[in-house]
Amino acid sequence: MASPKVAVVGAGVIGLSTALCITETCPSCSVTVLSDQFSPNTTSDVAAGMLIPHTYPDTLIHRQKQWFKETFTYLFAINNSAEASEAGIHLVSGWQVFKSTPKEELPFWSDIVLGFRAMSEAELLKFPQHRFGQAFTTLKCDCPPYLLWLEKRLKATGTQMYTRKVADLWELHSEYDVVVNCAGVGAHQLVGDKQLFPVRGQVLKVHAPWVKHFIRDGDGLTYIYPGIHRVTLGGTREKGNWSLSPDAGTTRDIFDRCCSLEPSLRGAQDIQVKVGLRPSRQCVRVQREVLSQGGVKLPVVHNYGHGAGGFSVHRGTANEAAHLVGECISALQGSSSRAKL
Amino acid sequence: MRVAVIGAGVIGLSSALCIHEQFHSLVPSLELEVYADRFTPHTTSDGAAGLWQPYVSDHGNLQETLWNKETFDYFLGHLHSPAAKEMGLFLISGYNLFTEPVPDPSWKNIVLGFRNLTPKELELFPGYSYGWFNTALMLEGRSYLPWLTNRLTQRGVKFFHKKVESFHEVSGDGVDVVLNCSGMRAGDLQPDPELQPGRGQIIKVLAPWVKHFIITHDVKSGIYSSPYVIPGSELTVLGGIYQRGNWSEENSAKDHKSIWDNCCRLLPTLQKAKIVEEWSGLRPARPSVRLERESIRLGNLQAEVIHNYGHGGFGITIHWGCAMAAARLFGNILQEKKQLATPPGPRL
Repeated sequence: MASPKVAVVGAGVIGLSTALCITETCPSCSVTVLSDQFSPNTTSDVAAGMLIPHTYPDTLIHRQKQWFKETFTYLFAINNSAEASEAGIHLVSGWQVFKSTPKEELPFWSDIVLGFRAMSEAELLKFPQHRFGQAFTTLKCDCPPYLLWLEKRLKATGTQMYTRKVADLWELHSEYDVVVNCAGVGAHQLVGDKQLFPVRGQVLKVHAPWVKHFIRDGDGLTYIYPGIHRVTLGGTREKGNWSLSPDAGTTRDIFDRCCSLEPSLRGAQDIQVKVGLRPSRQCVRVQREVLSQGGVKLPVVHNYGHGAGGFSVHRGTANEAAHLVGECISALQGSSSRAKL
Repeated sequence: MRVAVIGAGVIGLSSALCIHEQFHSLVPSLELEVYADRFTPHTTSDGAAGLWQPYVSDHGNLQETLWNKETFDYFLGHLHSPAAKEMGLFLISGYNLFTEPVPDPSWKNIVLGFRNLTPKELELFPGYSYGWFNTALMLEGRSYLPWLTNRLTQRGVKFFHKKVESFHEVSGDGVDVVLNCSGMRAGDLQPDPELQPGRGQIIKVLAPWVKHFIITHDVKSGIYSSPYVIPGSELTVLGGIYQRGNWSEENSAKDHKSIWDNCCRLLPTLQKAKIVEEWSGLRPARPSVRLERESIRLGNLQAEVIHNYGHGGFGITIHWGCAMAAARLFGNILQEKKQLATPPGPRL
């Protein structure tokens, strides 16, 4: 197999970063990205892109920590380079505040972000309704810039990208040797994964350039994440809600909750409303599978189900998926050389 | 009771406001007038980035440390007020970087969350081996000065576009108290060899991805002569020039290159930033702030002068504490005048 052909389905942060990792670990591969949506219309474009991990109930913590660490290290290097602003990567400091002291005062990622510590009494005065808080510095991936930067890196490797709705992975078996499923919330339909469910998130993206810190309520429902040009205000976590239409009552509620955390937001201008469906699952599915139909085999690598934590672990899961693609290719090459005997 | 304020930078306007707030109801005849040849956006204060941060060493000047603290606490209390945005007031965190360990500053407990930098944070800044992280305040001159001007105008304070050549020029006109907030040009009103320009130059760029201030220090070269990056609400200020004795307010190409090269080395991503403005100004530097009373005689007239100048590169940082101190001095003057005033009744 001179040049294995790999199709990556999905062009959000997972699809693009997985495609990029594959070009890095398998330079002889010919990679093609297929997606019905590209930036700025992916779920990733709605997300703030903050590196604050979500905890997956059924994934081993050390694995989540490894994914986060790899992602943070990767983005940290981009942040320190001249490309940072083009890639949409920047550092942001701020506070996670809790109305009551959390059971776990030290999250698993506290030694990976920068300068993690408990907030002082003086700092907590800014949040009269909250009793406890954590201060730290982390990274943010602004979209569309980050996705566009990934697309640019991919094009430079010769990767082709096509707008195409893939309704069934089998559509691809004649053109591609390995298929990588990064369809996000689309995996529910594409591979019939009933364990994959949407968690609807509505956010506001506002112009408030004096807001330099992130503020997040530990309950995960209210957050303020300053990006390069806009501040993302959130949000909602509506399990099982597939609606992509913004809700006006929700907009007012999000705005009020964020203003109570940061009163200066009352002066925010040009409020844009966006909705995204977090592709949620009890554990992220990073897994090899060989589909079989009528004697024909199709190696598939799944990399989806990142829910609320896609950006935080994207590079780590992309690395793992690329490694699995390598295994698929080795297996194919092994069986094809056996076939030659 | 006529009070003339000379100077419309942050010191003049805030002193005027502080005095009016405290005394206008006690002294119904109080009339405040501001005289200046430069108003916002052409004052020295307009060039300042607006970051609250004293120098790293206070040289034992506890009074100034107290005034700094009063200023910080006052504005921290106003952070959530509806006026904050209009004032240009917001919280900002960031880094102070050194090439060797240094003692903690006098203001470590004034700011929020002061701590040393971790080894991983220092990886962000090759060449620097020690540093601090803290949360402080920004008070942008371009917003704050207009806000002060509006408050004063609402209160009936009058403004005069005029270069005052001497104290007598205003005091001879029936003015009872003169507030000398003339900053760099105080020497024109009364010679002061201790007042020297600390020339600065800055480049303002569009770099909205920068969310932290970064101030480097070179113990040998002195304050503000090492690169610094301070993000405002719209533009980011790049600086690192402090030239003692240089009176030039012209932008220097050599200084521009020095600022640009040094700041881009500190933050490589700045190379992609678009340059929007350039500015030079003179920090009114003095070994200590001159904040004191003086009685000036001209013939048989006596005027009380309250000096409030010489705030160097920390005018915004210290201004409210000084304004309140100036107001206290004004209060003393009022008390004395009452005691000296002729009681009402027939004169023999």
